Amino acid sequence: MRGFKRDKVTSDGTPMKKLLCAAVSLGAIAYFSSMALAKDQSLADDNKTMTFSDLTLADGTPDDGTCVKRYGTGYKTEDHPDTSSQGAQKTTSEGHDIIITSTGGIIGNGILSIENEYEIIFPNDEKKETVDVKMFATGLIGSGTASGVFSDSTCRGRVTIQSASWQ
Amino acid sequence: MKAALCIALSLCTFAHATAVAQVLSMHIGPGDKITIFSEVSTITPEAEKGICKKRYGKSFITKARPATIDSERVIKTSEGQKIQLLYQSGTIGNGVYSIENQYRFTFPDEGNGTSVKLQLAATGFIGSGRAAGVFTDGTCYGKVLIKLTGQHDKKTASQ
Repeated sequence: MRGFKRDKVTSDGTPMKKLLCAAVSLGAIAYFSSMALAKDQSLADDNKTMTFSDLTLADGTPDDGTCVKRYGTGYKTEDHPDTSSQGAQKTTSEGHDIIITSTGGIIGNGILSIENEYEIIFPNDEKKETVDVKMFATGLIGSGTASGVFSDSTCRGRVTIQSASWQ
Repeated sequence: MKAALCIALSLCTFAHATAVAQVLSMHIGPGDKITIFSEVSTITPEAEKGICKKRYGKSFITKARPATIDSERVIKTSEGQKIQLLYQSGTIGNGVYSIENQYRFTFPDEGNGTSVKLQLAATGFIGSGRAAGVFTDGTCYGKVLIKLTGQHDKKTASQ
């Protein structure tokens, strides 16, 4: 740390940089807690029925077959039988392995939104390749349904999510 | 250590803010936009009768703005509402985006400058010229569609 300038000091003796850092950190914490709140209330652990439509490649050009193979049939998530595993958290009747890598969104005053990311191994993929999938959806509370868009950077399309917890 | 952590956090915050600016310029696209509300209803039964229809019964058009956002961030719609952007958030990437923005809406016919805080959550394909989602102002909530006025409806784009 030699060669560092001394921090400017405010009237009560607190270094300026420290205050700035605290402010920025608090901002970051507030931001991430609001996302965590949404997760706890609605998004994480319940099981959902996913259906996909309007499949194209991620840049909007027609599907070369990859996307219909991955998303042509939807799926219904179930808790993974091996709950102690570090691997998949969800499975499906079709045989997907799914890890929820990040959840976000808002819920309240009649509406909800979801910004979730998953790692999915598709049942018909011989190479068992992990695909990162982003899903963004919005809905009215009480409808039981949220609709939006998804992308795995190869494919994109529309997604409809049904969850009993939004009834 | 602390300095390093602080720099990391600040960089993270900065990166976040930059991404949000990109969301705004990229999400729907340049040009005049029309905002259409549907399935609007009241959250609480004691709300004034007809208030939601009065507020959101009519679609409105907002004129294209320069790429830089002015400091006040207030725009006026074709129907006389004043809209101020209070908070912007969202995610963009790999051909899709989501928006979670908060606005202050001032309605022309509610007198005395009555205004509400409106939360918008919407999603779309980058380059499609439209975003679909939901909104709430604490009294009324419903669905919302925002699209470029020059755009023709494509069957595949309907939601």
